Amino acid sequence: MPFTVPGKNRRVRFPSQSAPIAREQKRPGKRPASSHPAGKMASQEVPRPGIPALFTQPPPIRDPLVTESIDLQDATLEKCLPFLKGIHSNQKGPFNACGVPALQRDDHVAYLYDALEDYPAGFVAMDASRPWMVYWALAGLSLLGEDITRVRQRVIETLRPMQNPTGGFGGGHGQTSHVAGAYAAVLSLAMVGGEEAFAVVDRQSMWRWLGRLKQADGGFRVCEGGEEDVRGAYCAMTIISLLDLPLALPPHAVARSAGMEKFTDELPNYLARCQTFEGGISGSPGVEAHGAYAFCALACLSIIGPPEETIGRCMDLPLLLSWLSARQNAPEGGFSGRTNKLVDGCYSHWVGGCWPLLQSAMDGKPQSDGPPPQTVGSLFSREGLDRYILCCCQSPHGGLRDKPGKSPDCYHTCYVLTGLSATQHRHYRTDSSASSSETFASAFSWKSRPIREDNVFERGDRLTAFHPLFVIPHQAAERMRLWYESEAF
Amino acid sequence: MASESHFPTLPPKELSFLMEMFAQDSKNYHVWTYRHWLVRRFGLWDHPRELEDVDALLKADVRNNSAWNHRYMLRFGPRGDEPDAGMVGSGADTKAGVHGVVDEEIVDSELEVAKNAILKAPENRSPWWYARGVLRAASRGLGEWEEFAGLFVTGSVIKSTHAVEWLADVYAEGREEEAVQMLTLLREKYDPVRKNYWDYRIKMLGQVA
Repeated sequence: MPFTVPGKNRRVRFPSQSAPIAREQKRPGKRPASSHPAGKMASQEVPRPGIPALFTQPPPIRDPLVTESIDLQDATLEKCLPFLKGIHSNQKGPFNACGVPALQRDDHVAYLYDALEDYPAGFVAMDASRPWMVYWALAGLSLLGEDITRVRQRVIETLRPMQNPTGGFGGGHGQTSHVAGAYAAVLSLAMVGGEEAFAVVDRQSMWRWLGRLKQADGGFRVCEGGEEDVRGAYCAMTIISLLDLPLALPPHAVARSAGMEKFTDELPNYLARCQTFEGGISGSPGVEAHGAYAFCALACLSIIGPPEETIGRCMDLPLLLSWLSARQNAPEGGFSGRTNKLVDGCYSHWVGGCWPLLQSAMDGKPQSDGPPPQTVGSLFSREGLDRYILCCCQSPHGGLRDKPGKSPDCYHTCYVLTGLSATQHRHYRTDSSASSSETFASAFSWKSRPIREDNVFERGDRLTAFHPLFVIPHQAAERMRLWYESEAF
Repeated sequence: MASESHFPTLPPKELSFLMEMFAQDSKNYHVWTYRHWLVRRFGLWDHPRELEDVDALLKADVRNNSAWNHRYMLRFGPRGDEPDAGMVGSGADTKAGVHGVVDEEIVDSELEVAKNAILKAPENRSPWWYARGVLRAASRGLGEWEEFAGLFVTGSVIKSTHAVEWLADVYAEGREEEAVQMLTLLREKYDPVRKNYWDYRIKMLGQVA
């Protein structure tokens, strides 16, 4: 999913990065001279040792007919190849025996702390995404092992004014409540944790507001009078399950006049209608299959019931597997969000995050409190994705990015790191849940364990495990849920 | 907003305005989502501009998957008051991808459209999967394209990974050894980044056989 920040680049900590990147973007055909000697294509340069040819050579079949899609793909490949080969002058080492550079932890940590500071005027367009800015930075810092409780007070004071008395959080103070803002705010409060943070949320008004978003066809609008899509459903069910809101719709909810009683009524059917003939899942029924919406739909199904039941019943699984698998391309190794679109680091999470959910659905009902026997194992190339992330997505002065040639931003930093963390762990469900809820028992039964074999990254590149549905640390999700379970509604 | 009183009929310049946007970004997800909403809101499935615009965009770039998706919804999407769905008949309690009634003439002509697009660029995933969707909507099997897919898989010359996958799916019903051969081609040589997935497909064949 493309995400761009308008205006000037950040000046607070990294004044040197904006100029060269901006020039490079204006002239996409121009290659940096340092890594591309005159007359030599990136595909001909010799890679570092330890890198399989799969990740350094163009794909074996190429159609003669060139269209805009191919031009863009070719340009992307040219930009990625020197990074995949580990020979671009902007890459920082050390490189390991697999030819993969280390995660530049200190640079990324500094970038994310800076992201929590003030923004220059050029960022005015982000003024409606303030809870997101907090969430992306906190999630990234948590993944990198930082203790973010030190910013608890600031987070509380930043988010508190964004809550509306009529329920939910807006994208900023005085703005209309939106599920995306409310989702990011609730997850941020969960991450900093503690009673004072949890007590910020007015659950009664949140419940009534979400009741006004539930639609007669089972889905959710993203805000009152706004569009209905699977983000609405995923964000709403995340909030409902983390805050232990009643599953019953509020008395005056419009969906009640369509015969519905619960937030989950007809929701599986709505999500099922979002699967397209390609096998992927769209933002709303009838639109093109898209990786980010696929995650929202599959995570939502996995929140409202065990994935082997909900995903199994709602999705044509073989078709979905085929489409999801086709999101990974070589030699880049990363994921694209749609058919015939380009690789983008953020899909490391949106597409990559679908895999543990589908693998768990195929593993079936958990029988113990440990990892179940692997039925199918990993169905994508962890190596390919890790190479793309570590070789292509690290910006030279900290932060992570969509692809080489793009500036880093918080959104990509968060979701590229989330994707890297997901590949480093096996995510599974157990037969015991942190929650006493029957409906959400499965959602709160996830565990993660580091994968020790076949890794192309080093021990120092390891990140904290995230909950595969709530995209925050496991403990943060469980503590929030348990606190609200112990509070009267 | 979308109120019936403000916009009882399609605003006359709207479709041209959308084409201006597609000229800048032919795959913009939000513009396509809005175009889909317009079709539902004003019942434009058979409006001549819809197919014309899709054809123009596919002529400019036959790999525009958003345009292929829109085409599918124009031809096979639920109409009128039927709940919208990305695959004919998809839903938790229905058999996914199977249409109640389809016009066989439309099915055949759309298969021709897909074939012509594939002949121009055989490694383009979009028309191959469009054709799968069309056949599925018509409850027709992949077998009727065995010969066509074979055009791109002749001996050691492979011109399309999608043709190889198509043949693997055709062979999966009764000719498992040949199916394994096709999947092995993808696994070993033509699409090895998806090795784990092709391995899984091969394993599933063994379970069926």
